[in-house]
Amino acid sequence: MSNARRQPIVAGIHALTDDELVSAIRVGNLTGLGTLFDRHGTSVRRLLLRLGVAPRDVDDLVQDTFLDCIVAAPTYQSGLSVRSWLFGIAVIVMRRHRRSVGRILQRAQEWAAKRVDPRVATPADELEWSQDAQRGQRALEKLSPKKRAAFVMVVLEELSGDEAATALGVPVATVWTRVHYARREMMHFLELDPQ
Amino acid sequence: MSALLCPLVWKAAALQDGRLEGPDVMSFELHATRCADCRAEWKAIASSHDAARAMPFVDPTPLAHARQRAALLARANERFLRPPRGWRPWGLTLLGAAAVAAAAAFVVGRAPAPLPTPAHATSTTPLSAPRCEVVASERALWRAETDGTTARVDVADGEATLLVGPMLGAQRALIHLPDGEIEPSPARFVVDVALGRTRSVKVLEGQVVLRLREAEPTLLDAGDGWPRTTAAVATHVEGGTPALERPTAVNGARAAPPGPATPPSSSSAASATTGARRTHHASAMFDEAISSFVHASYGQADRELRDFIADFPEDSRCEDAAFLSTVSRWRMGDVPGARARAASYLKTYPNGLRRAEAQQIIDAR
Repeated sequence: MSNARRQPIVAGIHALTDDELVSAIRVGNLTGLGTLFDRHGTSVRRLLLRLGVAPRDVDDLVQDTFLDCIVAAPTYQSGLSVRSWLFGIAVIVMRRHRRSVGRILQRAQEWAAKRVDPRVATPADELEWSQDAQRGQRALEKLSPKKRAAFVMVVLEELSGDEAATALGVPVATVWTRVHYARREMMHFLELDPQ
Repeated sequence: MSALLCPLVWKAAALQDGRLEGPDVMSFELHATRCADCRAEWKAIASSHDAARAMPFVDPTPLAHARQRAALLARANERFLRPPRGWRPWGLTLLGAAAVAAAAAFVVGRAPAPLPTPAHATSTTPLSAPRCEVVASERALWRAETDGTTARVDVADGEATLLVGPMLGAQRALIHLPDGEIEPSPARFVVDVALGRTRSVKVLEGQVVLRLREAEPTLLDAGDGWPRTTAAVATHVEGGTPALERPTAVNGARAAPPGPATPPSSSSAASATTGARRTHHASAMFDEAISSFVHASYGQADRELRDFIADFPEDSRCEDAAFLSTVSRWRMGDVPGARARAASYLKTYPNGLRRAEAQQIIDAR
């Protein structure tokens, strides 16, 4: 056993790069998973909210994203951005969530009960959000899921075209096309939704 | 936006996306000062980006983050121990049942929707048992389960803060420790367990009864702690490395001494020194094995854990070693070996703390 392995375990884990953490997770190191969550949990949460996940579901989906990364770790290609890799998993988790039987059931119940949209902002939210933010949010909600994902990753999360393409599993040209149309539609919606 | 005349207007978006290189950037910026179309496009893009970026986000509090993290690791641990999933013919039946349920919800679903599940639901017991939340340290080993109206939490190692809510009628909460148990009334308290023994209990709110083996039950109120006075003794061994012994309690809870290392000799001082040296050796060996396990050298960890059990059969950590040896075989992909180890664990420790997980490994297909 080498001297390097005699370092304190926790300090050792925290000193690892993202790349090395994914390697640790691949062999079942759950402390590595916790550290990866500490580093990227907040940005995955923000991405999911920007993609339109309801606040009540977002914590569960963040957990699902990190649980899925245990399964996806063997396919991770060393050298890629771990953040964009996690974003890709988050998008898949979100799609699965929207398709799940439970969600369909819940929607049916909500529809039958004629309940209002649970994501309507509270009065406190209304006060807190600027008018610009509300317009931006409304315009973002009108985009299709694919265009929205590309727009959020490239424009709001500032991933490069290549990183977004890897995360979404599409060619770079497709990412730019989606961003282009998303931007056009955003501008159009904002024009129709004056302050 | 529809009547864009300037052929260079596309460069406004390219500039925002960082797709233009140095000379092109300067050239377009110069062009935009003269071209109204490009200037308007650039401004419109920037304002749409600003509007999208203006959405405020509230980051989770450190406590919420810690709860999420603990729930995530508990789920990951559970998932790891779950038997491998094969193709299940009853999956279609389930799908059919879900479709029927959806139809039923459609017909009779005028009842109010259920309340949203709280984020920390994974560490909260169902309503039939009292509410019991656990916020554990990163390396803590714990498990929560319910048995009818009783919420049970096993804390095997590490530090955990427990919050037990109000109880009605037959509702009860029990916290199992390696050397005893805690029965709380509605309370918030911190328990610290290490090396198979309870190191401390600190009650922050409410009241708990602490029952340790070979000791009278102790009632602890808010602000009380156990041990009431700490008299931790550091025994120095050769090389100056301290070996911490269990704190002495004044309430009568007697600390179980480390297992006898050598037969008693005529000289008690010499015997104590030899015992301390042996305890130190056992700890070093155990730490070595745990380090191999954490670093995913499961073959080596398995050998070291077996050596530890063989060399120190009286040590209180043997149960942990036996279980971790089982997990090592499992993670190496040696399912029959892991099953054999799990069976051996259950035979040696029929009431062991990890008996449920050992049984899961035996039952794995």
